[in-house]
Amino acid sequence: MKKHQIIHVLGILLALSGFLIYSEHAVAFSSQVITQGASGDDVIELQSRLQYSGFYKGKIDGHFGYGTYWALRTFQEQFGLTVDGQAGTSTKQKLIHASKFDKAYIYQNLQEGNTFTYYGGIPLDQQVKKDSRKSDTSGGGQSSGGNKLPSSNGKYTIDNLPQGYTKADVNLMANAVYGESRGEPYIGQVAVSAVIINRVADPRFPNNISDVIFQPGAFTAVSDGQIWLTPNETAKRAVMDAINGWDPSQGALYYFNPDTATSAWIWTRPQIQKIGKHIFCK
Amino acid sequence: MRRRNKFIFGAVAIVAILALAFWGFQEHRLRNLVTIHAENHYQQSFHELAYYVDSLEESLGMSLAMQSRDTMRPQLVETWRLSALAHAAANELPLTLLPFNRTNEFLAHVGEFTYNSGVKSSSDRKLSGKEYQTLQKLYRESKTISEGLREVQGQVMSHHLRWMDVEWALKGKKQNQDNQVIDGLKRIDGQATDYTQSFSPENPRNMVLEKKKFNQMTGPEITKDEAVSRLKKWLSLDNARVKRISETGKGSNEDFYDITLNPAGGKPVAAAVTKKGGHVVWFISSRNVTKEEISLFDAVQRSSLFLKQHRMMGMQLTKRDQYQNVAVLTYVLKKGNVRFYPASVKIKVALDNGDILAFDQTDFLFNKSEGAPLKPKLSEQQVRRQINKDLKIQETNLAVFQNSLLKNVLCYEFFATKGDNTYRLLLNARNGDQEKVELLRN
Repeated sequence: MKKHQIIHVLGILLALSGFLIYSEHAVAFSSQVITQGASGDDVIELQSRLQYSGFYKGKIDGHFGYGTYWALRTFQEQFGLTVDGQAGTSTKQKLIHASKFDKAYIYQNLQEGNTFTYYGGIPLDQQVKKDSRKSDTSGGGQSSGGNKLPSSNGKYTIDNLPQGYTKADVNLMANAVYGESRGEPYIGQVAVSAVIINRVADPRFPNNISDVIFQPGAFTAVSDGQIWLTPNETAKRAVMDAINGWDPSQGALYYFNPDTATSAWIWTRPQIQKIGKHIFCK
Repeated sequence: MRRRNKFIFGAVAIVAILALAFWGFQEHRLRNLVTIHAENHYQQSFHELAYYVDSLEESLGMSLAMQSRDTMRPQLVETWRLSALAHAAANELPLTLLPFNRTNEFLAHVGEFTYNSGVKSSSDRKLSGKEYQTLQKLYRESKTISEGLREVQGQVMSHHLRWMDVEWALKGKKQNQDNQVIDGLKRIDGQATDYTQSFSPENPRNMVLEKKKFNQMTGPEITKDEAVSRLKKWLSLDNARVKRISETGKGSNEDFYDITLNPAGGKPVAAAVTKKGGHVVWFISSRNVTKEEISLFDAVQRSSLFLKQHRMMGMQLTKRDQYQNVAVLTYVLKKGNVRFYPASVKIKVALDNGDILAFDQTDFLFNKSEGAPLKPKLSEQQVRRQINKDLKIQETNLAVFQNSLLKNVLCYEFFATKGDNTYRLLLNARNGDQEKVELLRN
């Protein structure tokens, strides 16, 4: 009985180690130079290898942020490489020599949304904390940077949001923009998104995205419930462009559809321009 | 037999009518409940606003009696807090379509002033004469506004006026009809105008407005046709057709031509070209990118080539972002060894073929020739002493940064880490003041 167990365990260990060796040789970086701000498979491997060799202590999430940047610089310094904070050919080679990368382990945990680490010299089963409440990426939560699930086709839903915006903000804006202007040209949708952002910046309006959107009477899509339609990709792209600083409305704070506008006051605002069906004004 | 049939029919009809009446009554009751709920919420917000503005007036009055900044500080902080609460309450009311702007503007002024003189300022010096004058002005203004609000409050209470009616009145065309709430609020607004206009030359202190004002546009005025040919050349889209061209109206801070081009076999590209000088301020292509073929590193090289081709020299890449198959890169102007953050350019690159999808140099055009000191008064070592010892400084730069007072200040920029967190600290290179601390996401 006992013998049986031992053989069993040995078998598993053998299989595991074989798998380790196999995966280590099978996967390596693609040929691209990995720089700060990047995301994807190469970054996951970079973070894993840096963590394995003890330089990176943050989350393995496939997003090349500051944590990874400093870790990589320290690595380069210690291994006598040019310290530039980006992973080119020689840096990648040094990394491959100095560390291991267990792709199956990393991706399984990423997929399951577990909290895990990948330090060299510590048994892997001690480095995983299972997430009981199946992590949910669609919820509000603290923007990007958190561990996001890679979807089945290997694409990542890592959104790099500009400082100060959460994923919930972007979703809410996409909802509002879709509800307000889904029939408009792309540029008109960016302009509507920009108006929301301009209002946040203006002292006369609330100073955060959700308060601006839900301010009573501010947007018809909120009043008539159209904000709760599911936005399409175009609306989301438009919101991202506006958040990144593009403002086709040229600093507008209001817009209205001249065919349906009921308020007399809105016509008194100085107009900037017309995009699609909307007139944008100050 | 027939009589029985009639009887059954009648009974069914009566039951149906009763059921309908009951259903209608239920609906009506539900609708009433919802309306009352909404009305109560508006009432609460309005009374809150009135209360906070009252307290604000009192608080401003009290700080006027104090001499040193140190004794005044708690009162200023309290005023700051009240202004934020009042602002929040005001924004709960259905007033977006009403020129209630100036009350909000007043609240923003109070908030800004008390923050800068009470919360942020680190020195113990007395309030300057100018600051004291501002405080007095704000106090006078708060009195007017709070009196006006109290008057409206009185009317609301004694005439049982409903905010829901205000909302309906504003939504419909009946805005000019008699509505005591709206009239009362408009009166407050009219009075506030005098004050606001005397406040500062750059009034209203609208960040959006101020940010987008170009003052250094050079070159002669150009015509529509010239604008189109310039844009085509700038975008290397010689064969594109013009889909739309228009001029901006009087609400715009700068005169633009808005041009939409339809490139042969491509998605429309929208752009703005200044009338004066014919600068392409921004453009956006509406193309969707579905594949990722090139890396962020390649995208950076494409964007620097683009800058070079358009003769924008001496730019430093400070930010790289990658999402949804595109890269967004931010460059700032470098003057000597100083990063000039306000003069920034943004470029969006498609990660399938490396095309430049969008470009924006609004901030660059506005700020590139802005003056700012480029020589630090304090040494890096002197400034470093102010930084928490637990922080590990990784990188130091000299940088010009636009602070909350919209002034360009020369700072030492430190990138420092503590545990997993990375911070950016901007410390004034003239007096060591902490201008901004930022927790950079991962």
